[in-house]
Amino acid sequence: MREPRQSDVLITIVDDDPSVRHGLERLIGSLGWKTEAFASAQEFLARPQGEAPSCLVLDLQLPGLSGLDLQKQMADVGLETPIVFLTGHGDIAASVQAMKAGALGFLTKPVDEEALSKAIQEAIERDRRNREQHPDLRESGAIIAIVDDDPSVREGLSRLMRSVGLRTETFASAQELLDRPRTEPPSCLVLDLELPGLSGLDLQKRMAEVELEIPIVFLTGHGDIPASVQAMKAGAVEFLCKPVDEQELLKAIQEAIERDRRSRQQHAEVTDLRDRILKAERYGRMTHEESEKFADE
Amino acid sequence: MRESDAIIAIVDDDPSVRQGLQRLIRSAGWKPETFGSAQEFLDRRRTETPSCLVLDLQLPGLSGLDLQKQMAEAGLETPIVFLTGHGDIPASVKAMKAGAIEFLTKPVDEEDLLRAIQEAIERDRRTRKQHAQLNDLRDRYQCLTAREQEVMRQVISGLLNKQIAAELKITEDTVKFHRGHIMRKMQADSLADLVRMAENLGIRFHPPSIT
Repeated sequence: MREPRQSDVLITIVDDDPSVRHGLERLIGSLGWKTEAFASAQEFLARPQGEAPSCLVLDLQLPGLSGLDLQKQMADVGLETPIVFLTGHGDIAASVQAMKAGALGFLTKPVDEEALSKAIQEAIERDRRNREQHPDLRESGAIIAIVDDDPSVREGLSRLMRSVGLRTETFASAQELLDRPRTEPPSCLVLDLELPGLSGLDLQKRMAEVELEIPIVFLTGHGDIPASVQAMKAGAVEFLCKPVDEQELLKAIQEAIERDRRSRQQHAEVTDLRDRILKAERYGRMTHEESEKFADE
Repeated sequence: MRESDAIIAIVDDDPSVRQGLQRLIRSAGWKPETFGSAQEFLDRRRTETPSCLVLDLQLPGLSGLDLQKQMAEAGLETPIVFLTGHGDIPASVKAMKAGAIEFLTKPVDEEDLLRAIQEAIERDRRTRKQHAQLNDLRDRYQCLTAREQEVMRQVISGLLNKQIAAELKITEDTVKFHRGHIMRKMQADSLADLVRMAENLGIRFHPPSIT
């Protein structure tokens, strides 16, 4: 007898064969999970922002980006959706590579229903643990701004942030961020180093000049020591290199949110201090009669 | 202009590097002190605290980052300039996060190194000055009587003489008398000045309610 399933868990299928997609959707659906299916890695990456899947059932050979490419891209941006590979053309080398890169399973077609069900259950369990790891981030409800010229990185990072309950805004360039309408300021900026136009370091400098105090976490594939030292001297919270470890990135973001909270609180205190000084000075200048009246106000 | 009395400590396990740095620092008009390991530096006879520490990353025993951590834990605020032949981005970020002035790689440009040391000396001077000012301020605050300290807490919270008098059950004239003493002993030019001093001392007082 099967245990009852949580039907709100989403399983994503990426396979270029329509009949396989169809079969898997039916099978996984019959096991009690929600499904969505894509014919290519690009289609998956370009899907509209919505619910983050708990497991990705991924084909190896795909038109365009291969399954292993997609796994790597996801890892580069720290997206840790557990992956179960399902392929008709696997070999040992591919399976070893996939497992080393953190895949939860590597199954071959025709698929054994029990094995797939078990692998997906394991994936869901890991995903649940991942999601439970950051209750503090979830609670903060903070907005994270992401500036990166690579759309797949923006997308991946954005998904990662949302998977832990953070809100995101994405920008393809520094200028886009500067031109953003001033509504609620973000609590953290995840910033690439090399960008078209203003570089990440230029943006950091510009922000300091206009006293825009959003804590910055640099995330780059092309960093060197002088760049990292310059960024840190100018007050960056962290300077991380791609491929980034998801936990490390979330830790840095946590730190940025905390710093932002403290700095907002300090601003409030400075304002309060200024009020008190003004009040004290005003009182100091008053005549006795005026202060009597003031006291009665 | 360089202050010739600034002591610059060098910690590097390579004798030729120590020698080279020693010469460079002396030629710049500072006083170098050299150590072959972090432990040697920690064990040195405490005479005068250095104004800057030029620190290697990889050392026998405690690493440069370990030493930085130990110093922070011990409340030693000597500014650190890292100088290493084996650095990577994570190490440099860690060092800078922990407050290093600079993180330079060997072979180092002499001008870059001298500039970093100069910056360290300046930061050290500012830190020492701030410490001295705060100590001075604490001393002045300690010279206030318990009653004066109490009145001061109320004054800086924006309470009027009349309200303080009611709060402490004393006359307004007595409050004014205490205020005069407070301003004089604290060497405050104005109430605003006094409020800033209190802020620096970390004194907070929130009145129960202003009626």
